[in-house]
Amino acid sequence: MNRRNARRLSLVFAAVLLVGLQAAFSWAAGLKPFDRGSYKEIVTARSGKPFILVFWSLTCPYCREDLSLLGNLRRKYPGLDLVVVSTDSPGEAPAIAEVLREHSLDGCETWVFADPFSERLRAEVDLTWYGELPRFHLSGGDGKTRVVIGRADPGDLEAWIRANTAPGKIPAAVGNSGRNG
Amino acid sequence: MNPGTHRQPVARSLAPRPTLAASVLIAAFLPLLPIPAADGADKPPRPARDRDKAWSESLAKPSFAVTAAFDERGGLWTAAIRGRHLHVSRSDDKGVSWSPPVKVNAEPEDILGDGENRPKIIVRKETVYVSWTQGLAKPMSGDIRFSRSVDGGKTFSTPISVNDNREQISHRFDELAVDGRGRIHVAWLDKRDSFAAEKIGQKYKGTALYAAVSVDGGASFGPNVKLADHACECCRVAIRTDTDGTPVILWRHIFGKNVRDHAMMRLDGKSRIIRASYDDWHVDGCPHHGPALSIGPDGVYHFAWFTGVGGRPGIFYARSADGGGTISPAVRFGRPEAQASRPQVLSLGARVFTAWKELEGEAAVVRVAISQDGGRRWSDPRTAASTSGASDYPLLITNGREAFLSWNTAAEGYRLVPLARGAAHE
Repeated sequence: MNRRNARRLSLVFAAVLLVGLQAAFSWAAGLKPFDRGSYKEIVTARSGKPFILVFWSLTCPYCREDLSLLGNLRRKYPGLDLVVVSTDSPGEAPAIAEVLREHSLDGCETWVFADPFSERLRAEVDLTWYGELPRFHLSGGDGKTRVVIGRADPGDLEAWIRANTAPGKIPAAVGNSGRNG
Repeated sequence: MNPGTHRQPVARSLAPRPTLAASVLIAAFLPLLPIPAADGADKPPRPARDRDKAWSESLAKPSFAVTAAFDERGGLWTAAIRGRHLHVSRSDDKGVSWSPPVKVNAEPEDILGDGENRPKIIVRKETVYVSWTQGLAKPMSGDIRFSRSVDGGKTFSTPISVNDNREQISHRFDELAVDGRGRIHVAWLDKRDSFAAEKIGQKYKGTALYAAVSVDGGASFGPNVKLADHACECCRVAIRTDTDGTPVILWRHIFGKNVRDHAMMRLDGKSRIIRASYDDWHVDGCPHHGPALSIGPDGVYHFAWFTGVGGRPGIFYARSADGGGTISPAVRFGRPEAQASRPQVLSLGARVFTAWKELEGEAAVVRVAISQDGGRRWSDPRTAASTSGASDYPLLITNGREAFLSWNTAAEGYRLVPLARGAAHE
């Protein structure tokens, strides 16, 4: 064991500690670490029940607009199962939490990419996902998943939700603002 | 070559120390952030300063970005972010050993080095030019920063902000070029027109492309000039100089309502915007995937880019032998099903190189294809380097005679891989 190895070892320890700390921060913010296998976990946990999975990032201006839309839709359709995944890093948890809170999405199931080898995480979702955002997976009760890349059309999105949310959960009358839904 | 021996001081910017410090800082602040587990009930609006504070903390994340360039004598220079400083190192033996890194900015600041952001470095006639984007407290805001060293990289000038609009908005994604006359060109994506439109209740598509020129060797920059309205917001731009010294810029533009293909322009004061790619990719979103440009000693323009167009996403190459007047049909390279991405192109004249990232099983690899006839025909791709962990974008650089892959990876550190050997086949 020479000095170089000792130094490397200390770096490894620091890295392990770092990962642990960052994971702890993410959980503190209600953010689950999205790692290898997380995509499968999200999908299997739903066992064919309809849900919307959305990927977004702090650095994507269009994503903000869609998060705002999703926040409104979630208030309007409380039965909507919405999973929100940030492709940023656990170290950015405070900023991510702020944005989610701002759009009333902090009560959803929220995740953050927890592996800087992001290509591999994306490949588990779709081999031909190169990082474009926002990205929506609309998984219907019929087992079909529709993928939307870029901003979702609000009308389309709402139509999908109405068609795929449990009828009892859909409010009879819907206000324009969505805030009284 | 043994990549393990090529670890250099700069690559230690990846070492967790600054990250750890940042994390501890975040940990210290986390308890201060009230994080309700409440459902989507209405909440009172939170002060912008909370949001800005959280954003500022997020800027301290570590960066894999190491940018490298050769000087005319074959010296290899790198710019990398270590904590809140830009560090420049030099190697006289192609990356085997390195000079101690020199701090560019004496005053700490947040330097963007994630995704499409990276510091830039060019060395000409023993002057070192660097530019970067400083992240500001408001989300997605930044300033374009520049510094130079006139003593061979021993000391750097106090950084200056190149953007003359000083609102705390987005001036980001800087790109740097030095032309044959020693004039320094900086271009970037600028939201000033978008915010001005917003203030009077109008909509503005995308962002604007701005540039500024220094005619005094980087002591100061002239007024900012708008090159184009409606560029795509967060894709890096590329500038290279033509053989006559004219800078040429390539960027992802928004054509029509939301077609995010590419445009180019010669910055000669009279040329107009030329459409450089025709993928017809309609997307109301962020590709986070800018183009690459190379202009060889023969004056041929080489373009490489990504498109996500439905049905045939992937990376493409085209060439123009008449300054963009006519552009060849786009040629696909890389395997889209292997997530082929981050295309680079470098021309040495007849020999032209493309490099890109792919996923191969559990590894990220850099694949390289070589043309021996100026980009008309291409060799089968081969793997030039591989890593099992996180990695920076691959870069192609030249010392004027040979081409190299420059790549920083979490596991191996910085690597300079010569591409000439074994390249003779077609």
